[in-house]
Amino acid sequence: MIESLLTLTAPLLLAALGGLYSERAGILNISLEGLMLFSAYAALHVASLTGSLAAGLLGALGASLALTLLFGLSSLVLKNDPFVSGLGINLLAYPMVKTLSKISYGTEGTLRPENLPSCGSLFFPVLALLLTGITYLFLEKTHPGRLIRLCGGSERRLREKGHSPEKVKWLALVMGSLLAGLSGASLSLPLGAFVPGISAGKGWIALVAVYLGGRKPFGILPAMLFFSLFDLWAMNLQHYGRIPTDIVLGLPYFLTLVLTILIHIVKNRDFTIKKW
Amino acid sequence: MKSLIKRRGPFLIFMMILAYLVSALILLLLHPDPPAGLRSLFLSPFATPMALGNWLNRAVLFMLSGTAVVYAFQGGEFNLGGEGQICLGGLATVIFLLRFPDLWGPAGIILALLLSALLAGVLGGLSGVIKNFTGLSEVITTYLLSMGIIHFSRYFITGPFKDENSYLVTTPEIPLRFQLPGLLPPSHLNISLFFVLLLVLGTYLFLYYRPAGYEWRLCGINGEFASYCGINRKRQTLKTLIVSGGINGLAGSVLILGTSHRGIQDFFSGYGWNGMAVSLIGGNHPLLVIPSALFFSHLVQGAERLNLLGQFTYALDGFIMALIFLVVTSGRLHRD
Repeated sequence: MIESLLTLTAPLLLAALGGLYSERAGILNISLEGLMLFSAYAALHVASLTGSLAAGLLGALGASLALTLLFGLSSLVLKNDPFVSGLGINLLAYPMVKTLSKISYGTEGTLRPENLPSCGSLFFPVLALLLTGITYLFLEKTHPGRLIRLCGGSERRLREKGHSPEKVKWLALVMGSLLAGLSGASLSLPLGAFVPGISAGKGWIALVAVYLGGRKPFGILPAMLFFSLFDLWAMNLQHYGRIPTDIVLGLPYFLTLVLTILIHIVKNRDFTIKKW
Repeated sequence: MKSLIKRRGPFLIFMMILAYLVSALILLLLHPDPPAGLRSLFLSPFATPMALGNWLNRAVLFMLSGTAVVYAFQGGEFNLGGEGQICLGGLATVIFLLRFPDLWGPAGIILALLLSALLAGVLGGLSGVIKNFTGLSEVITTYLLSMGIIHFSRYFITGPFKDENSYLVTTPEIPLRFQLPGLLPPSHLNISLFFVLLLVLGTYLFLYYRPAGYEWRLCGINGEFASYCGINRKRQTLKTLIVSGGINGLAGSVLILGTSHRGIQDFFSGYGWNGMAVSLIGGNHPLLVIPSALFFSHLVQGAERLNLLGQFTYALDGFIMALIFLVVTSGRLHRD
């Protein structure tokens, strides 16, 4: 029970930490979902090619970085609305995974490569917990972390101090994308398979958890445990066949919505969206 | 009107050329026989009357979902719930017409359209209510509601309304008298073309020539200024999201009545996002929805043809749509 709870929490926690970096730098990064999908695929693909877990992890990080590079080019260099850019990344991840999977495995469906190294079930949960601590230390105690927080707080003051907001935002995006890449890997590697809808909605739930957790690493942790607990309960319902699968799959979205509304009323914190 | 189109038209043409260039480039690099691939991509929608009709029909549906997004953006709201609203509209139409198969044809059609618009309008409006009462952005709520609805809809299509005699995951067909009369059989083009063109024209006249339309746009251009002018922004938010959702509901209903005639699993897939792309590349101008819908429909149709021929299994239209989202609101490309 505790083990499956931790396994469920790890991808969400990693993704939310990734979202936290860009959020603290003042970018609403909705591309998490696309990053997770693409890196989940890349992790599996590279791991089965090389037979090495470490290579799979690197593949996931690379995939996530590549998409983030595009996101940064679009939103920071071309000054596209970051929200629309994020949609673009999410829309890009699907055909990319489809195409690659079709070319390499001849199918667009579930992938279950044979020669996959097995991954200890506690590896990602422990990693996620460690990274929660590291993220806290990085954002609160280091100079680059302070710059990221300043960038999200007041770009003008950052500029007055002689730093370029663009560079700080790039830093936050890259840090975030590494975590999102790990999150993708933690979806597919322990499972030993890739399913097309593997990241369905998880990027959004992660983003919501960033707000629920008060934009703090150790606030995100309990928020995520709660979500996973609900997920576990929903899976049990599905297992016993009391509620049809499709209804169970739809429930997390509504629960997320209700929770977000409740927390929002309590905290009355606005989602800041810049209009172009 | 002229000056507006002059301002946004060149951007639309630029985006179209960019999209075609990139797709040509992808074909040149990856297609085993590039000239044949380019011919299929660009010319197949004009090859036969059926292909032509299907191209126009898809454009009609894109115009509808595009117009829904035009209303949202012009009113200053993000409606990310297009897919779910179209799904809800289509599903309501199917279930309603299967439950009441004895209605007089036109009455059934009109009731189904109204019901779909109403339900999807309520779904959109719900995000407006949430925003007005809690301040929670519609960006999050429209998306989450839509995703939830999509999963719930699958339950109806795979469960109580599944057609057991079909090898597809689908509901039975709606009775023949509820299916919109075709204009160019055997293609899917049907009389909804005229109504949608009327709606597009009506949208333009409303937004640019009526006081209420002016207020609508003012909220999109500068919300704070609109408040100073005494416009009730909460009411406008609600109106915007209801109308945007309602038109998406109509799109779902027309999709069933005129094109698919039954609720195949994921029948709505892609129409919502394409509608958003259609609206964005036309600078959210109601009339530019027409050329940009024709363009998108052409691209999707050509890409589907390539897939069908089996020479090119890549989701070309998906790549192009993503590319468009990555540059479409670029501050460096826009000068207005």
